[in-house]
Amino acid sequence: MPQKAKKGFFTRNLWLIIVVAFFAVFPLWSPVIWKHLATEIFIIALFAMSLNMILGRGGLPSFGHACFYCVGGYTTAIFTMKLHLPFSVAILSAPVVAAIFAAVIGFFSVRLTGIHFAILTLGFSQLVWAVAHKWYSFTKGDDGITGIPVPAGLGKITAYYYFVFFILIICLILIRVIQNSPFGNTVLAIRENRERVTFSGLKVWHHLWLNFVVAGFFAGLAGSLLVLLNRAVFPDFGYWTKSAAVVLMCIFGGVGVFIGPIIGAAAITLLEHYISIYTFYWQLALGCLIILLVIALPGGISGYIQDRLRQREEKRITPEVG
Amino acid sequence: MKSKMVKAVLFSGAIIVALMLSSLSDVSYAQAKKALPPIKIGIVQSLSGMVSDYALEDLEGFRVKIAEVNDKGGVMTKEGRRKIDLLVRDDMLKPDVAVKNAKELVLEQKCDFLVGVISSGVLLAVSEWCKENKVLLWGWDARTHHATQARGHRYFFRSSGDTWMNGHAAASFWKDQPFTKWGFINQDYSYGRSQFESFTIAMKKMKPGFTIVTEQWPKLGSTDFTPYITALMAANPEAVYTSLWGTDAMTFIKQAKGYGLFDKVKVCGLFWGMPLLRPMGQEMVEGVYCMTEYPFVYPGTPENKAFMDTYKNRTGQFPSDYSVLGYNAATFVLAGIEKAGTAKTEPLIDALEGISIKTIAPAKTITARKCDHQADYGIVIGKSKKSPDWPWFILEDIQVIPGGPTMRPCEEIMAERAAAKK
Amino acid sequence: MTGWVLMSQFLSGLTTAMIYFLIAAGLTLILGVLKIMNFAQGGIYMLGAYTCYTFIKAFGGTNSGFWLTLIIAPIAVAAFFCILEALLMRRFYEKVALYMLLLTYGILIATYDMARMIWGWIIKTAPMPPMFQRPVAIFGHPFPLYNVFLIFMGFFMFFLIWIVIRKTAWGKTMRAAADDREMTAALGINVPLVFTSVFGLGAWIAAMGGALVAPMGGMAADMGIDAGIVAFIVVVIAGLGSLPGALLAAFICGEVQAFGILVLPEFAIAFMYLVLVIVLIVRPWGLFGKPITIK
Repeated sequence: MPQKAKKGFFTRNLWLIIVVAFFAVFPLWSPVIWKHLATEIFIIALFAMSLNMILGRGGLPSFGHACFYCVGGYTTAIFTMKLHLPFSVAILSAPVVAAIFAAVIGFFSVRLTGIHFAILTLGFSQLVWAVAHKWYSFTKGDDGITGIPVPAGLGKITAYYYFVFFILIICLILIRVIQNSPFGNTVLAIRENRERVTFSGLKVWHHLWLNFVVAGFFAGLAGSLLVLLNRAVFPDFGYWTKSAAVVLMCIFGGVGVFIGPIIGAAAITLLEHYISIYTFYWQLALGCLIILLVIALPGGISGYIQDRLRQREEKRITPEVG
Repeated sequence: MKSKMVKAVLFSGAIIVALMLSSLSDVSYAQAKKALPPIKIGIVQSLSGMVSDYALEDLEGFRVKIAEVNDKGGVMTKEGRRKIDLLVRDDMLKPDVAVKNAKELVLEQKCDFLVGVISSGVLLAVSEWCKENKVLLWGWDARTHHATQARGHRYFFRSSGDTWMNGHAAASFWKDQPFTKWGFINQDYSYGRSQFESFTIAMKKMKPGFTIVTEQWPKLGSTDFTPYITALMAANPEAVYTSLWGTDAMTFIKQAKGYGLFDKVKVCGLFWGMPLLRPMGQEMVEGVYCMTEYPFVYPGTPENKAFMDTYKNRTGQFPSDYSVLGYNAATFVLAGIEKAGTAKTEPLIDALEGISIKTIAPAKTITARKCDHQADYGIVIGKSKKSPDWPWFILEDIQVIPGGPTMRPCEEIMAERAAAKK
Repeated sequence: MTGWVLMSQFLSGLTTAMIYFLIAAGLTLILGVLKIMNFAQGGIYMLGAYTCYTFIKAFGGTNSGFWLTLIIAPIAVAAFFCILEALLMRRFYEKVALYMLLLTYGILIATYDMARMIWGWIIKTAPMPPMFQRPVAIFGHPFPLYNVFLIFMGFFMFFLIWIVIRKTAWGKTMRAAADDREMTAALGINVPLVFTSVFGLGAWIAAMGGALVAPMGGMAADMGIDAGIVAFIVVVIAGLGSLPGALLAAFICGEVQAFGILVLPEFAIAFMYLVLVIVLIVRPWGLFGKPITIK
């Protein structure tokens, strides 16, 4: 086999550095609406990445992930509006409260697999939605909570953009570290072969449960960031169609690749934004898109790209047969 | 493999093309000819969901008026005549989408101001955003009274009546009737709650002995009203007040018929005019008290007939309350632009405060009050009746209830706003 | 509370329960045999209602027109979805559940816009057939005759499907294919065709549900999205694939809602989800489902 020279850190991650640098200078020249969109995409990307911890790595189809997003958003909203707590407390408590919900829901859910897991997570998240929708005195029901104040320094979109970008980078690094740790590798192993992991003495349930809780943590953080961008939160944040949408993003981008969900989040958000400008029948367009996607690109965009790259790599390595 | 690649390329190509097209729209306006640039009005409306046909009628009514003005070359401003361009966005009945639409229309498409909203929940969210970003929002339909009362502000105006006015108008009629035991059925969301609040507050003030014997709160879009109907009847009300609309109103009436509700109690339906009577056709019940802002054949004035004809020629349909709302909203903003001579926000707002316009029916003019920017739009009440001339029921015994006296006094509103700030 | 109040609330709950059952029955059949969660079921229900509207109007709103509609409309809708299934869904039965969930979700939202494009945006109602327009007296109180008809139809549909599944050759083939696809195919049976027919039957039931509900009230294109989630709850509480379970679960949900309105009106909706969650915690395979091993 031909030897590949060991590349340096910068050359291996060149594309990553270029992308980060691009987004770092992006606000300096882009129009306001693009800054808004980009910030929203960062937040949704974080949400999708958190789902992929359960879906991609854990192999469990969660259809109730929007629940934690919703809980995180409402925590921030209620802490600032009702309890008048300082901003830093509100934004730090959101993921913690979401993680608590994830701990409870995960406790009952991760012992199931496949469609039963999907159904239970869906059921729980609808229950949370129903409460948010109905408990008018606490959550202001379907009116939602609007007019949420943001600290002076983050009022302008450029400042908030950098704030969210910074948090996203940190979270991505954290997720990456978690997934590459022995804990993360065990979760992956569980997806591949549950029985073998049980035989090896490791506690399957504990790993899946902890993974679920961490995923809920990051989803809650994403929810609170969105609430501060839009200054409002609505029960819709937790409706099952939102959970389906984020599953779609992960699949579209590719569940098997680390940045897959980010690509999916960006693509779907942009598509939704632009499709509804051009046609009132955006749901037909989205529906057809989903159908085409499932049929043509089951690996998602990044899966497809990976396939092509691997094919080219194989052609290079395999010697010509004379 | 190849077909997969083709599909992937088509996807990415479509995204790129879409992005390019959207930025192109700005370029073509930059290359404007000698003519003055058009005034861009951004419209945020709920075109999806239960409310979509009413939403479209708001829009069509608005368009009819704009077309009238554009045919003359545009609205007169200080610089000369400028045409009006409408950019319409669907907020999908979701407040966060509506705010996104507002951002896109104002920040990306550079609209001069915004018009719209049919959903009360959406209204509060968009109004908040407009207040923070100092963008004028003209409300043409969404009625929650909070939007011009406690949560009102300089940048929001409304030409439709609000829930406070509706409830007080109803009470001004019903206080003279001998019924004190009332049952209520309203959809469980902000509009339904506001209508319930305002009618009950007004009746408590005006009708001695007024009692609420039951409140029913079906959720929007329920297919089955039977448990609510039986619960309603079980409480033995003398009369029932409801703000149900759309498919819910239709379902309620059809199902309640079977229980004999309409024979036992008087039913008063808010906004049970054309938007309900027309799709119900012969399935409607006679003798129901319907309140509406636009009673179809009344008052038979020449202006009403002219409007009906123009609207019918343009859209192929007879107009309804919603078409008139849209038409009035357009009349207001155009009058404001002419008075101010510009579409710039601050002078336009100053011009709009206190402005009056002529309307089709039932009142002759309406005015946008200075203190809260709410128009004194009236309402009528009549009884439903079969008609030999039309495939739908019409109203008889029509009484007009003017808007002015039903509005909340300015001092009360200012006091509530001051209290809310603390 | 008088006896009539309780009785009328009970009967109302029963009406609601029958509507839920009709939406859920098709779904549970599809789940049981094809093992897929068909999100599009709500959309099929909605199209059933709209198609019924078109046919009733075309036949002039007569009684005989109504019966004809009940025969034709659901079959038409089911046929359409059979074609959709054969074209799009066949290859996904053996694959990961996730893809099928997304596919049916895509079909659901596409049907919403399809309905708006074909029938327009204006709300509609199907005219009530003349024979049902007078109420019937139950214990001296008026009760809508159509509701009685609906309750009857609910039970009728239950027995019809039950007989088809348990007693006919078709039903036996269905169950065989559900239990062991390979063996059934090895016996020379065209399994994909069987699957399509099951999907068609499930769609027919949902479309019939929509058609029966159409004269009861107004319809808008988004009625499918709400109906879908109700069907989902009923099916899950029942246990995937259990028809009697679906009837019982629908009954529970209908009555919980009807009496919930009397007792605690604000939280009536949340009750159903609470029942769902409790069942899922205690018996995740539903009341009547086959127990699954939990690790």
